[in-house]
Amino acid sequence: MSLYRLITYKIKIFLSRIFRVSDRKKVFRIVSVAALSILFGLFIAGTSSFFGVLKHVEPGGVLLAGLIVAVTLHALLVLAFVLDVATTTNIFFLSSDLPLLMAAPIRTSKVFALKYLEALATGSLVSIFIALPILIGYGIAFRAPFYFYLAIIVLLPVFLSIPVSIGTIAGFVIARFVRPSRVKEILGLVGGALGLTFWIGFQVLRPALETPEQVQDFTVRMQSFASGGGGPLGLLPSSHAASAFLALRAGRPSEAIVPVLLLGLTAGVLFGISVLAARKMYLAGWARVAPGGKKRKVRKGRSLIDTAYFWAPRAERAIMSATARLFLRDPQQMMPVATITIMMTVFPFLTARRQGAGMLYSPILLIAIAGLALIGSMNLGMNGVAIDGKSFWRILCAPVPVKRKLAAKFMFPVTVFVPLGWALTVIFKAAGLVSWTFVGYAVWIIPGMSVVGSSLGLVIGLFYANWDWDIPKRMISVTGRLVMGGIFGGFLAGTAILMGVVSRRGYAAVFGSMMSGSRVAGAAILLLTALLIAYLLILLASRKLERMEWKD
Amino acid sequence: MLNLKNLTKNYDAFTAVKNLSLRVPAGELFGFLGPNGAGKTTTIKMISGLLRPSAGTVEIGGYDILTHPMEAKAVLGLVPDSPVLYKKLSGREFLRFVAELYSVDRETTEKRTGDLLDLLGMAGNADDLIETYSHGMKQKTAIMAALVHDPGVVVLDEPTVGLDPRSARVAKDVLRALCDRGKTVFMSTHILEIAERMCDRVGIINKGELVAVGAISDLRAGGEDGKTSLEDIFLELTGGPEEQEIIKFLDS
Repeated sequence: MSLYRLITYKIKIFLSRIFRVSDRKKVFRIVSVAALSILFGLFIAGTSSFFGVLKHVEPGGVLLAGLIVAVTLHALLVLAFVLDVATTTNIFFLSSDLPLLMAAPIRTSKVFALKYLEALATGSLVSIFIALPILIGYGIAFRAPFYFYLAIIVLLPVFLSIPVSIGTIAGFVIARFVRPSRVKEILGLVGGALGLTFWIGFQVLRPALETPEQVQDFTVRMQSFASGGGGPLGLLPSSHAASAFLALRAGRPSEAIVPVLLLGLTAGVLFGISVLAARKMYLAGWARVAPGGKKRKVRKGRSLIDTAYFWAPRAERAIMSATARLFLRDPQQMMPVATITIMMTVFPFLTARRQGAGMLYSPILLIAIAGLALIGSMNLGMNGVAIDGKSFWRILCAPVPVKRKLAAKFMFPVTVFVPLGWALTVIFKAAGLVSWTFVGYAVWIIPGMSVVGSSLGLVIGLFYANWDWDIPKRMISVTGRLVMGGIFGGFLAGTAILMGVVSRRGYAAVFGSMMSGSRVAGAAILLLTALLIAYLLILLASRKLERMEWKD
Repeated sequence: MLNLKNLTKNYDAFTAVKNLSLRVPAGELFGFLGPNGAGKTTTIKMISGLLRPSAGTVEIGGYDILTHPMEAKAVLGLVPDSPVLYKKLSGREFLRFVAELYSVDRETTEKRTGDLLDLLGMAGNADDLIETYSHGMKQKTAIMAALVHDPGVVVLDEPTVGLDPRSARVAKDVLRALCDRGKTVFMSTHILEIAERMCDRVGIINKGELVAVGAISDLRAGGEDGKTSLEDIFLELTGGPEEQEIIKFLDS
């Protein structure tokens, strides 16, 4: 079978997964695609208008625009690498069609090429969605010649093939020593740790940009950084890509020849190495294609998790402790929880270092902690349902009322984030970062937010769970993730608008008046509202569960 | 006791199960046979409450699964068609989890779990994560989970698939012993030999309709001359391909 036919089948399967669904779902998907396209268009319009404004900023606006493009490409290289190592491992070792393809009389090189293209298409999707609007917006704002846009179409896949090749080689090498399913877990941890390191590093190293001199100094330093400054950064493919795009935008195609050649050469060499490595490793049996491997023993007796939920009735305890185990034993599941926990812990110390104990510090800190409790609980609530996957039938069959099953799933995130939030509040107080007033508010606001977040997550999880998930990022359907993103964006936008209003009116007066009221009444109203929202959401979820039919 | 009355399941214009009525008394091992896509799994899902019937009722131990789901589910043990289990739990943890869902007290759970693990030869793997189990071990775990709360009615969808001969024999013996203790066992299977040797009665479903039900001897008596085996009866009732057609296909 030719590679062309293999690719055609893959595309057919992909399209049928999207469009061969019920009419209702089809309409919804078409609307979603249309909405995404509009969003994409708006993103391009936004970046174009941003670069348009920057173009006229003197001095250094044009320079800064180029810098943004270069930094974007550097960031994409890192992001694509982290995403691609995990994706390629999944596609090369754990795809469901791999045994079929490997057993068929198809040359290994064709199987590899197919998987490579699949990895490129899957792993680069996020990168393309970020890079395309920025590059197109940049081109529009600076009235780039037509070949700039052609270059985007040609160079972007070439550029993004580099992390795929590196990811493939790295995946193969790691899979030599660790079984594939464990590779994903390890890479998930490494990726998460890298992300957190970047975030903390950025928070710590973020320079002060308060005076024009500081801004100018920062721009010059960053420009030197982005162009490589003669250092090793200049050797990176992202530097070649940036140089090519900047030269083409400026209408100097001759200056783009060398970077394009270097980029192509790097991509070609890495592709060649990955082909050779793949053939060698597949055929020599280096890669352990079949899952399995060393057995993992667990404690025979009852553990701390069972003890932690001693207070719950038997069925709820069973569901909560099973859910906790499923999360704790899968590093990929733990990453979002760990990330939010670390952010909750580190953020106050970093902001305190930068802003001191200003008047706005306490409210911002409280919103941040409460917001993280909300998002954390929502995430855990959502995945806490979908994590059961197809095994959810076992809970459906249990002789336990629907509301009690849901109560267990709902309580799980609350039992994680409320004690965590309270513990952190105590630590912040002990470290002298916050006042007793803060502690007083935190005691009420954290459970309130956690309760709302968990119930929201529960509803999203039940409505949009992908029970047949193979990797954690596919636990919730695309629509579900969009809804979650919308809620997250809404929270951020709402907070920003609120802060804007507070700031315009004079935050001291507003917060002063807020704090001068009855704290007990305020806290009670807040908690009651949160509980009411949670109750209504659980009611909605229980209706869904009662009507749920398990066709799979 | 399991009682199905006019059970029907429609998916838009397609009828997966049509007016299925059946009564399986306590102490009987009932074999539910049918070709692929005949409606066996749909029926079992309606019995277990995983699918809502479009019409008709399911009574388990005297309780209607729709009007008294808690009581009905409490006496039901289910082994689904594919043993989808929590891969990040160990076999022992999974059995404890199921026992707790059915409100079995801790002492009984530990005893029954230990007994079942020994019986099915899984004691040595009980504390390994399920993700490391073979298909057969997962199937055994699913069977143990269905029995851990000592259900009055056990429904099994292809229980012997993936089991090695010894485990298959143990599973069959267990099912027979359950019936001898007065439990109701409803089992779908493709393996006619198992149905022939084990079941007190069998029902044959084809295109959603129950086309025959009764003891093997009764079915044989009602068959045409020469149709002596259950396989012959099955092929006649479900319209399987004629031998000549098969030979023609193989020769082509």
